[in-house]
Amino acid sequence: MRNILSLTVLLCALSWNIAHANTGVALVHGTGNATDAYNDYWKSGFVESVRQGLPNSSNLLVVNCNFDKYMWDDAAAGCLAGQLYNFITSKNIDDLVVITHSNGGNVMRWIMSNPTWDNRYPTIINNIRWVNALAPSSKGTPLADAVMQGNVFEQSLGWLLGFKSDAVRQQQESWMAYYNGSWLQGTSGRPALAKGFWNVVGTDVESAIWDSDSYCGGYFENVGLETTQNWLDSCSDGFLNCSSQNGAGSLWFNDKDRTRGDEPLSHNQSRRKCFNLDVILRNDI
Amino acid sequence: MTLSMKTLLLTSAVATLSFHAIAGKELNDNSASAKPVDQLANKNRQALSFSQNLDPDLPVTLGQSGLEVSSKSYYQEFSGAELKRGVQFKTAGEAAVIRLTPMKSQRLGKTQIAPVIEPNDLILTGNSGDFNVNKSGMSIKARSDQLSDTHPGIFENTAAFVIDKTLGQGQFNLKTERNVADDDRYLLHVFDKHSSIAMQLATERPAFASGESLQVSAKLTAARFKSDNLTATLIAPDGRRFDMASKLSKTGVQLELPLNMDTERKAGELWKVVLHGETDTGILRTAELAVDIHQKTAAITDYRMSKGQLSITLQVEQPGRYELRSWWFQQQGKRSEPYALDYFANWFEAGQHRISIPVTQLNKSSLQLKQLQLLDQSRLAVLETL
Repeated sequence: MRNILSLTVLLCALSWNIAHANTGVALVHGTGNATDAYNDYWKSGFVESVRQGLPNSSNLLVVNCNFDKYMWDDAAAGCLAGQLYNFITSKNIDDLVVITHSNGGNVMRWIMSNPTWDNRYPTIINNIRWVNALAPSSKGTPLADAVMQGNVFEQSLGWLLGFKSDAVRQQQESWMAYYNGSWLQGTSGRPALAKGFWNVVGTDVESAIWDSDSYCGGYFENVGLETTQNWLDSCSDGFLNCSSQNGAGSLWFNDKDRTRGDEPLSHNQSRRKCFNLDVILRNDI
Repeated sequence: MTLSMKTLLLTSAVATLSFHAIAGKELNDNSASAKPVDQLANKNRQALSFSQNLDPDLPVTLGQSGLEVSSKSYYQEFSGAELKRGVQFKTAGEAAVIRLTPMKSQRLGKTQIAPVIEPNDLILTGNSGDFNVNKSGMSIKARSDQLSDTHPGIFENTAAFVIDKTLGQGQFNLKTERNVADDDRYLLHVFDKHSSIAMQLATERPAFASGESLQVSAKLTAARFKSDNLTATLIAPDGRRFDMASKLSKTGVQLELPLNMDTERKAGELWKVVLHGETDTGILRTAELAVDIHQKTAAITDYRMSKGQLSITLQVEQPGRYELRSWWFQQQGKRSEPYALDYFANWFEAGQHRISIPVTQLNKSSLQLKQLQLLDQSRLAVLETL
């Protein structure tokens, strides 16, 4: 009985809080050195659809940082912290919903897991409502392992198979296993993240030439993702195994359980206006 | 998971976080530095603390868990001349994934990369005859540009195909019809995805400090090691290589190497243990395991609770930003439950320092300090877990 009363009080308090909160949304891209993530990474249709869920439509931030770097690098987490902190303080955001894609989830998790790293981190953590992590690479990807196998640095030649970015090296499965066990939170056996980290998991790739759904997000990208599924488990989005996507935090939903027509979301589609994903995210704000 | 469930869980997480700044007290200030400050990952000099409640129903693993990796693949280097003659490889499962990647080499003092060999330039010979990889109806193949477009920055230059199921498993010959230079270099990756033979590498700890001994165990599933074809190497992030001693036993192979080399590395970068092995049936495997090898830049020499404060003495060898994490558990009857995780970080010069951290939860007499960790935030190393 006491628990029910406590819960009721908490829910009332939360409802009041959300009703009076200044809600904002931040979109955090994945691997890459973004300079115009609005047009290049997310596309305007997706961003503008998500924006419709905000009471104040100007409270939306599209982050641009260099996520080719290691997650802890100033150009990655430092840049993300700067943009989130300025967004929160300049617009008085006290109810921030963060939407990440792929490796952006790792950079966000770095900030949430290492609160004493940077003076701005506590303010960011305290003002987050939750993170909606679209296909996060929480446990890395076998594709990164595959391209790094045999690729060593030699003083006279540099990287034998060509340079792979810090972010690719970081997303090797055995590298992420180390970081998850030592520096990051949210995986099994580790402390939970201070705020919710909710995963949207892409379970398959469809690239049938006769199926119009295969063209959402780009047909040829989906064909390539279907090829790279050969390095992955049967449950994967063409870049990440489902076990990696749901490796930290909590499952929000597997793509087919919520998308229009029960369509799977390939790794390319989970950041695009495909199969109602934008509406699901908008309604979550 | 519905929105209402997310909201419900949010309520249990609110109002549990707090942070404030606390100053550490310096006992000594010997500022000898092995690494210039501008190369450090974190140069923040402000003291910060943060407290996070832990979910009592969510089990937390204390101590340090080991790392492990399992591999069903291997790779082998070939020259252009060998590829023109045809190279052999063997699989233990059907539908293996094959990838051919050009390597860099030096010619007349200049670094150059070999030309890409696309599926159309490859002839695969198996039990059922010769097949052009591109024209044979090989179930899935990808040109280098297709892979690169799909995953920019990952698969440059590489071409891949999956051996058609009808060709089964066993010995194959791969030959190129492209007129590559004899001394061009290529790396052939064979991912024997559907084989039951896997090589596993494991350590009991995720991190090792200079002067310690790196111990790695290796074993095979569904096969035995061929004893005379094992090569174990530790590779530093900067490419330095160190041969590891290997000892074959009934259960597998033990690899060992005293870490007497210079272990300085770019902050956070991991070393890798690479084991090339062969089974007694002639199947090759390569496994690569990432481990952290770091310099011991600081140590906890003493810690104790007194008057509502956690007092810790640090011996710092290299200046940097260090973090202490204290893990608090609460006794509930016979059960010890996770309660809170407290963080404190500050910049410390070399020397001995005594730090006093107020423990706000101490009004609860049932609290126990279950674990104390020291982390080097400037070089990314977990130095101690007590």
